Amino acid sequence: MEARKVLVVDDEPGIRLLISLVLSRKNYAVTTASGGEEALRIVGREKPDLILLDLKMPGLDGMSTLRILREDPATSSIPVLLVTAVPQKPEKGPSPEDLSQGLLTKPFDIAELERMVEGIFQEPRWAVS
Amino acid sequence: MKLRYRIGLTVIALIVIPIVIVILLQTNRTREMTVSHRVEGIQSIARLLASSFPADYGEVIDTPAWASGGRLEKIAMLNSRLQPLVENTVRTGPAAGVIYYLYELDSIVAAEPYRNLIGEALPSDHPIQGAVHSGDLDIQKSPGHPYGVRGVVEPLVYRGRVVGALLVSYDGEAIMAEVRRAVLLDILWLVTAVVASFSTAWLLSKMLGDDLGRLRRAAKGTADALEFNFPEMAEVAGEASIAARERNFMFRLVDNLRFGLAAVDRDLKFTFVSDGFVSLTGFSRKEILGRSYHDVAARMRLPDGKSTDRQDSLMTLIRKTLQEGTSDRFRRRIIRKDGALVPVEIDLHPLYEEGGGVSGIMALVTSLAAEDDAKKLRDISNFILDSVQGGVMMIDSAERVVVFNRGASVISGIPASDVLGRDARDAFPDMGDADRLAQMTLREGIEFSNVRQSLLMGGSQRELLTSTCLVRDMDNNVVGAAVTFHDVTDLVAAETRAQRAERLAVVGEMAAGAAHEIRNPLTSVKGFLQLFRNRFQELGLREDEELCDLILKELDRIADIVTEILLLARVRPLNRTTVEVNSLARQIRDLALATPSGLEVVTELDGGLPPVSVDREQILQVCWNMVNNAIEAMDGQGTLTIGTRLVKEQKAVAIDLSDTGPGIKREDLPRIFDPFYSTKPNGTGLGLSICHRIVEEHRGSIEVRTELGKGSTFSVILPVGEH
Repeated sequence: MEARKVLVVDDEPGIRLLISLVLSRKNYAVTTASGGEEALRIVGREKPDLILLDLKMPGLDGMSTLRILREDPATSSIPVLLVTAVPQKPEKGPSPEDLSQGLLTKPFDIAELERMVEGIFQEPRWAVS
Repeated sequence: MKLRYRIGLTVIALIVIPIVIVILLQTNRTREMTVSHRVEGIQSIARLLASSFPADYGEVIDTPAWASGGRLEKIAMLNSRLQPLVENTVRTGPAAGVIYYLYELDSIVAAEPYRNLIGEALPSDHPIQGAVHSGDLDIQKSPGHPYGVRGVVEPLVYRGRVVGALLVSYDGEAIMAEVRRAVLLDILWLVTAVVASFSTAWLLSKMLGDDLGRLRRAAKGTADALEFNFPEMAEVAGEASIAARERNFMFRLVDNLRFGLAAVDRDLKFTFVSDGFVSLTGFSRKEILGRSYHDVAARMRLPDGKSTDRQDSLMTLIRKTLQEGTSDRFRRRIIRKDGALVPVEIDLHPLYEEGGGVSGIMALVTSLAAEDDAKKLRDISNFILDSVQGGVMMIDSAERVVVFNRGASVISGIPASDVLGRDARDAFPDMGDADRLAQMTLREGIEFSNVRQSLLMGGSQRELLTSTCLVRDMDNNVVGAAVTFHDVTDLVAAETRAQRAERLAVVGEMAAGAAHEIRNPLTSVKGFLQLFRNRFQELGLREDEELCDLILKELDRIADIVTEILLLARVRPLNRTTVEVNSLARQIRDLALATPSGLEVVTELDGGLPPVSVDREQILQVCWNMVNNAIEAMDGQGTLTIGTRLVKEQKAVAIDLSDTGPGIKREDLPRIFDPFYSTKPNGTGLGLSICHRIVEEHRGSIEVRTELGKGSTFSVILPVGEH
């Protein structure tokens, strides 16, 4: 079976490295992006099976990136796990949690990260045939 | 022809005809004089009324009621002052009618007998308008005038400004009747004179019939005398009756005035005193009239026998008026017969004799503190004093409390009756420095402005803002000191709350930024360290693995602090649900019992409490934080009491969490809710700040009672009916 492709989007290089390291060891094919625009380019090219998306980033932030992904039929069904240091609710409109498959608060345990990522793929709805 | 007939004819020719001619001329003169006397009398009344007007008007318009009153209230106020004077004037005659008209109100404010005109405006063509504006004060005495006015107009002047007009009218018919009476009297005299001369002539002719020469001389002499004297007598008699009535009227008018009038001659002997003067000085007419000013002044002694040196300066002013013929006006305090001091205004005017020299002095004495005025003034000042929010206290020169207003009673909790009249030092034994400010002001003349004082009053600490000033009388003598103070306890508390909220807002802003900046690197460090730990575990490097665990634990502490700061800063919308406070209290009890502290846990729950609408999780967090503090404070031994109760006056319920720990030090108490303020060795100092923030968001409050060595009680007060 081909390795599942995970895209890690975070402006912090340390966190990109950490998540890549952890998920690579679990045999995921990890690609990274340092911002929203780069992430959207990669998504159009590579069709990842899961996106880990940091919410607070310079430029196109996580919430805007998420909305663009959800509005495009080609990408709207890609599962997204949000990662954030300070969870915040928007004053209006759907919350990031409503548009995603889960939220991971920094600083997280790596075991928690592994468990949440595995959880996504065990979910039948998101199972890739 | 018999002698007697000749005498009779002579008398008729020489006496009766001239008498008749003279008396016919005289009746004409009587008519004119009666009319002119009347008009002069009316003018005197008008001038007297106009001269007493400024005092009445001034008193009315200087009242707060005037400033706030509408037109009708102002008319009523002036009317109540002027109407009695007007009615009295008309009743005592000879004025037939009096009208006071005020331009400012465009209204007649007092009138007699035409009371229906009170409150009415004058037609613009009414002669009273034109007469005053043109300066021609005599109204046309035209019987055919459309308003039928016959009388005189005086301008009503107040502080140099014409504010209205006074119309004093007379009854033309009544005057004509009087003229007729006077003329009738003249004719009566004529008849009497004629009869008398006939009788005399008859008698003389009988007695002296034989001696024609003597008779003729006697008859001629008598006739001469009669011719010469009778018209004079009639004139004098006619004038005397009018003058007597005039004088009578003037006296009554003068006696009705609100001020006292007195006159002295060149030797300073009193020649005239009015009723007003008598009641003002307390001396009777007998004690004044005919006596010299020195004698009367010598009797004006204070009860202790002292005179005042001011009497001498008054003497100087009187002499000056007498010598230089100048008028003078000044204020003095005179001593009444009973020894009371009465502040008065005295007008001295020289009186001139016909030759132009000063023949005496007329003094017009107006009381500035008539007893009823003083009472009114006292009532007004008491009313004002009691209406002001702050406390006002005044001590007199003997340092006795003479004023203690309602505000002062409310703030201090001391009824005015407990302190009034008492020595300030005895009256406030607990107040420390508070009353000393007034004493320092009185003794050393130092006035204080907005001094902040912290006083223990009625068992609670109050913050006061105090000012003092010296109180002086009319003559600028210091008679006491006044203290005004305001209770700013609530203001200070609000200020403290605002400062705390400001600190929290700053902390909140920083917290969100700091949390993000700290958590990101913390994530990497923690994550990589976990990878290392897992590697050490795989390699069986137990010691390194344990070191990693230690570092991870420390990192978790950093993460916890960041979380607490965020909790404090974050405005999380409240998830309100209906909560029974007692079930919340039981949950806290169960949690407390589950901790391995070994403490006794007691509940004292009020069964009949209304539910509250709160975020259950957040309130639980608050209570649990406090219970944790209590457990730590008691250090393993003591009793934790969880109570609930109704706070009726605030429409709220309270959860009381009491410990039997060491209590909180007085100096720590004001700061326990400040962020990062902790008395515990490992505390972040954020727990109670978060609690405070959460309870405030619920519009509730936290109250703390503490006693060193006995314990503390934290009460979480939550409003009922808040959504």
